[in-house]
Amino acid sequence: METLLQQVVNGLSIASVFGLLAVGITLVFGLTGIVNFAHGEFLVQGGLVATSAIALGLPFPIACLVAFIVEGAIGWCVERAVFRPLAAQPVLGFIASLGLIIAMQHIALKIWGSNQIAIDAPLKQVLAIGDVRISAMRIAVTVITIIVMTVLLVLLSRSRWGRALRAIAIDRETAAAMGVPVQAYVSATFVIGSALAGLGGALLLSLFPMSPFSGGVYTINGFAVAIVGGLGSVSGALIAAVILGMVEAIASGYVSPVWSSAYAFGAMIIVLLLRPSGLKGGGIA
Amino acid sequence: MKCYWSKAALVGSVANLIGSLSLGLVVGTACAQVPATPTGEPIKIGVISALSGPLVGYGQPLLDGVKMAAEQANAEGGVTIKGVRHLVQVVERDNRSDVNNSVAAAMSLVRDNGIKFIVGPATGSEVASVVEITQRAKVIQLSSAAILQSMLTKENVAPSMGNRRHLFMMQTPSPLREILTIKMSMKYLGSPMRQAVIVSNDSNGDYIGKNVEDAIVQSHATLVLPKVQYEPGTTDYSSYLTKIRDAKPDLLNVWWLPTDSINILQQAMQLNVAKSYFTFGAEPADVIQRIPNVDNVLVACGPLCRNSSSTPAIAAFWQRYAKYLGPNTKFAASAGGAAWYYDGTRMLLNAMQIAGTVDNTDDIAAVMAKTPFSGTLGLIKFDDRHRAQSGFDFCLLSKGKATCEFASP
Repeated sequence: METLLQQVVNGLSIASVFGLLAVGITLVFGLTGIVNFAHGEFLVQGGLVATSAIALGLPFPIACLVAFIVEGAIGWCVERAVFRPLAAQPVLGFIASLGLIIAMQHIALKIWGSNQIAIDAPLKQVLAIGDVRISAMRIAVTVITIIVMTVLLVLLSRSRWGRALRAIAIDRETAAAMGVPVQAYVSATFVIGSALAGLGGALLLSLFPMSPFSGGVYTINGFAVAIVGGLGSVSGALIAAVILGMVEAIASGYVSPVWSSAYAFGAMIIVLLLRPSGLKGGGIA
Repeated sequence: MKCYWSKAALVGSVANLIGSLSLGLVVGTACAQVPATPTGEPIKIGVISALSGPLVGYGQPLLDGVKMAAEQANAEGGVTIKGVRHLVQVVERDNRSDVNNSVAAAMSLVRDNGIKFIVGPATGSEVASVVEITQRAKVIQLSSAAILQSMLTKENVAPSMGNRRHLFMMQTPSPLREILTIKMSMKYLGSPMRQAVIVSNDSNGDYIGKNVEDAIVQSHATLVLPKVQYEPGTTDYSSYLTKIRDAKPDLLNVWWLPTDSINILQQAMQLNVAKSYFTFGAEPADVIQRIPNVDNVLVACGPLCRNSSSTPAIAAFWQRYAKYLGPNTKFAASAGGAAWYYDGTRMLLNAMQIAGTVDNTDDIAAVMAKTPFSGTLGLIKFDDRHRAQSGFDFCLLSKGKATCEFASP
């Protein structure tokens, strides 16, 4: 029983990581239609920026903020220089994002080197209830992820900004005709998506080491969650993160650990066969 | 008494003086004209290594080791063979951590540059791709890649006939390596009888994991569950480690990939998976930095732990390496691997001297195969499959402090 509880706790922890990955992907796609395969590189760079901030003596929460701001700024540059010119042809934007992966990896390699980088976790305690154990840092990351996603959901569903975003996602031309500055919102969404990736990277760094080559795995897992949840749906991403995190943890623990990724992607295929638009596909929020 | 020089005596003295000076001049001129040890063509050693890309952590130490050995040889006047002095020149090629680039580099060195000695690449798939090129050209090749032990057999390294007789593996092969590590675990970690293994799910993980399992059984310990293999690229091992914890092991053996080891150790300790842990390839200083109060962990380095001084030769090696890198330069994560290549290159140059040739790779290979060499890693000798037998640093981490010992199979 305690092993099952431990695997459930593991699964929720994995889910929080998946959620962080997926929320930026789904937000960017929902509004812009761009499938940004370089999202994982923004995440990793955010983590690496956070290590530099910490090396300069900044406390971890400030380092997270620095990563959030820096990656947001990079996102603004990338959107203006790469994706905006290709906005009329999203497929080209996708191809450009593949090139962006290589470019960002090599920039990171030049600045931070190829070795894995890790930081001392700000919270080192391990909480134990019987045989069920979880590190305090994992709890903190899970809580922060839930807060971020909740804030996003509330903003998207209740705020003027959220209403405008939803209008653009449904019908861009009509939204523009109604006076919504579409391009500004597209840029802002890309910036927020990139900034969230940066924040995610900084938080993940407190749990796991990173190198400039870590982005690929994060991108694939993030996309799986975003697709299962329904591209464009933040609440869908949250639900999908929990489902896939639990599937991976329980299946690895009780079936065979060798197939851990296969379980999550197998679940993705099943969901898409039954609901091609994902669990809550069809619109943002 | 008054002394006087007669005119004849004076003339004689002057003549003697002039003669002596002349003789000295002639002799001096003759000596100046006798040549110093003649200098022959430099000995060119090719290096194929990952100097960029994800494997640079393994590739850079390889080049460093070869260059250090070359610089040392040149500082000592070069390598003298049959009265002719040869300086050592290193010709490097960056394979960018890629198999295709490794092949291109090998062809460039062997076919375009006529290089007869190649060191590297350091890792499995890259070295396998290069072997076919070097061995057909009878080029002596050294590498520490573990994959070589499945590529080298008694038959294919047989002198004169074997088609891989010019290929040498610088790392202690499996299962000797794994047997040594289990023996050291038993010695330092209180004879843990219930053991488990975690490795990555790739060809190296399969191979190494199987050897560790066999070594555990040979040592009469109990393997509490079959090796657990995680997907390469995994960063969250909690579900794998929970499965292992369920089997209640005394010792968890954390092997391939070395870059994942510290992360796995940290998560395993958070989950309280086992009473003690062994890992291969992590640096003790890095483990202590990430897990400050680490206790009951035995680390084996590949082959030397950074800045260790477990023997005088090892301490001297690290001093030499620090001087080579210069001030303000840090050792790479796998810097200890440079020792394989430093010793390997020195073994090669020694073999040339004994064989009395810089060209005849058959003779050089034959000498190298049967001549032990006293180096940084102790007395290194090749077995009948051209696989080196040399030791490793082992460090016991106890309450955040490391105590190290160098041990050989």
